[in-house]
Amino acid sequence: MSLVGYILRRLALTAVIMVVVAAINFLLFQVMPFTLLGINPEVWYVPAISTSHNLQYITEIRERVISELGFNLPIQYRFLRYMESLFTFHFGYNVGGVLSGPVSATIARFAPYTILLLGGSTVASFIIGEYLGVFSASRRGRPADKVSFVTLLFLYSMPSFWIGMLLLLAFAYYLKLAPSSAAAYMSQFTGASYYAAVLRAMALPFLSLTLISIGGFYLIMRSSALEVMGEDYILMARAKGLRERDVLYRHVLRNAVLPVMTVFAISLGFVLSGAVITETIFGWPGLGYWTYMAIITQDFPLEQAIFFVISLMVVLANLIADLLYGLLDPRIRR
Amino acid sequence: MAGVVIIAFFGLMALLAPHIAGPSPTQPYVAGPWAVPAWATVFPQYRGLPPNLSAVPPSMSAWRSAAGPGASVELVQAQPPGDLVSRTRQGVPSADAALISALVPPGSRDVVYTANYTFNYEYEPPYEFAFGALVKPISVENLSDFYLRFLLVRPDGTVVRLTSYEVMSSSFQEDISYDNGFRLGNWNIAYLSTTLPDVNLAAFGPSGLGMTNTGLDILSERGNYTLVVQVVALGGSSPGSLKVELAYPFLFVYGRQYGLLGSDNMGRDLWSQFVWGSRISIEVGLLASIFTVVVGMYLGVIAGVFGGAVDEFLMRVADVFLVIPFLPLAIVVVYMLTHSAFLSSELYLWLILLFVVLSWPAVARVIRSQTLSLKERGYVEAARGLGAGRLHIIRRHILPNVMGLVYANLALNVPGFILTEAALDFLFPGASTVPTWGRMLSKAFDHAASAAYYGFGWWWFIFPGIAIVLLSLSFVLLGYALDEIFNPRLRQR
Repeated sequence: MSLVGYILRRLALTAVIMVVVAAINFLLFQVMPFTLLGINPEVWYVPAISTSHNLQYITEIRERVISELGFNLPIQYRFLRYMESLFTFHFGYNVGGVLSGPVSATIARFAPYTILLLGGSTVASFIIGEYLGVFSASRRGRPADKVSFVTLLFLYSMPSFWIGMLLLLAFAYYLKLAPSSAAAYMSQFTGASYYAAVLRAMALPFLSLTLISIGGFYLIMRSSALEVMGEDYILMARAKGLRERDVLYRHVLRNAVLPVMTVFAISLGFVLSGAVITETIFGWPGLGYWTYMAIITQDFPLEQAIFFVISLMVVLANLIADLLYGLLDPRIRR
Repeated sequence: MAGVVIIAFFGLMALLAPHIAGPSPTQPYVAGPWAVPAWATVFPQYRGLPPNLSAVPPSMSAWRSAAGPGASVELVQAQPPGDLVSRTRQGVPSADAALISALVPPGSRDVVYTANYTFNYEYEPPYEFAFGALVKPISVENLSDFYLRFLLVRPDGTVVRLTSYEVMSSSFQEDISYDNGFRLGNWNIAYLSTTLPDVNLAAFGPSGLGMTNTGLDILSERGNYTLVVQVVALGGSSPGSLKVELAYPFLFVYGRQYGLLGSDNMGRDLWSQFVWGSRISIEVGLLASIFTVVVGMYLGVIAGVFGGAVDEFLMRVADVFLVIPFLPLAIVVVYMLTHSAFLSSELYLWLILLFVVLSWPAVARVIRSQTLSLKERGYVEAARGLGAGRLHIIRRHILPNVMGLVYANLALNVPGFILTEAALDFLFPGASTVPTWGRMLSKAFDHAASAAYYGFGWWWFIFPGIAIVLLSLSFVLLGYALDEIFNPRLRQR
């Protein structure tokens, strides 16, 4: 099959997958027990004194929520309305009581935080994982390899919330070097000092995420590098009398990085969703944090929209990974 | 190898949980709040912390006692109901009681009985303690009230009035049942604890004491303390009498060192929570992995062997499941489950189902590609040439050859499930009351701010996390080991 055919086929499949995922997303929030969607007015507004005015207010909000979610319409209209919203990016309005305004604006406002945090830590852990992987492979079976293998496996098996807790306990509560809640800390600043505050608040979640995700890259890189090191051209490079460092970082690393690249592309797709727990723990106001907050505050339009955006990113990343692979490795284009 | 040992260790722990857990994981104040593990007292900063401690003996014969004016005392054997005795934590089923008979003149306010016991307290001050006694009012006539008074004489001679415990109100009734539920002719417990929110010991303390950690102020120094228990009778309008039995006086110091893993902010046993928590982790991890691998194996083999439309359909379905974001979906589902009484009772079974539904595609893909390569092998073609059916080929030639991959995947899938389950418990600690490692950590994290005051509660934060890591890690190691056994090419040349 030609490259163009391969790309077209991939595109078509991606479109189909996206439609199915969107339908699942729609159905998920339809089977949500209806009692969740408006019985609990305290979530939106807690009246100090229960007057008839307050009750009226609550009822109004509740009705707005129901019409916002389209529960006054038959399901087929709701579905069409939902599918339409995926193209217009009009996902409705926040109803959780914490945020106000259109959901799309909320996402646009908070996505940069996630992209900054996750993008940065994914790239950082990718690079560190690469080099550690090759280093470890070059010392296979020796103490340096064993130590780094077990250490990274340990980091890999760490629950993200645990490492976050320990970092917070050590740096925020004990040493008092970092804020315990990023969002609360950052909101105290404006202007240029805001960006300094963002960096300061980002340090712990960044460290936490990087530590967790190095392991995955390292493990793949190590096995990939081990495979490459058995190839004839590496033997050739050694026979030419190249320095070991050049062999490792020019020949082994470059060839071994290929399978890791696709994993990298896919994990970039999970950038938006991967950090729900870390963001929640550190109070980092990104999409992961709002994934959790939206469900806690029953902000279903927001939850549904975040869901869609995350799935979209994953699908696109998969597509890019596939295309990249097809471009780089002709054997794949079957 | 280390992996297998760790898995066996936690497996045994999960199996034997009812026998090794000790007290119920949800019972508060089995020890003081934020008690360090008992073994931690080898470290200098925890030396001298009090263990759970009964400071005074239950038997009145060990006490110095004196009858007041118009009263007489004799020692009798008492055998109060076991549940009351266990609340005093004195640990003996029967003890000597003091039988007090007193004539009470009208309008008097006399101490009809005093017992005191001097004990040596040689520990750091406790956060909390409890005290009280068992009382059996036998006859109460023409009294306006009688009460128990608890005093504590500190080493420096100051007297702390711990409390005056009213046994009856001013109204006379044959059957004295009040808000504290005392009943005539029965054993009753006068129980007070600094942990009870409505006991305001502040008024009685030596210096304007706060409500929290009263023990720090009252048992603040080492030395000889004397606990004094008095029975005070208030005469009515005509001559009255009082006959009452008093037994099992207690002063229970809630330990600041306790058990294998210490206690949480409410004095609950963390070792017990830890042991029971191993059950859920192993159960969810293993069951989800087994079902995932079985479903993935069959669908993968079917896709590989049948090919064509079947293959295409299964793989496209797999594609869809692979792009659904796992954790966000799990969060939504757990949220839905917790809001339904019917579904939340089997929360972990639903979680397993969710894990299987979302994770089989990855296994199916691996098995499918292995099947595709097996299908082209000579012996499979030979079998096909001899007229073997697809089912026969699957059973005899494909399945045995993918088993290595299956076993490796079985082990390699477990850690992800254990971690995700723990993460969900962490995010939704209220979803269930079952103790789990994730829930322990969640509660610990809720108290991270106050932990600073209590030595940072490292015993609460560290051990559940270590357990999760070790268990996951050992399954990863096991998976790698299996992979190497079944995949000789991976072995070191």
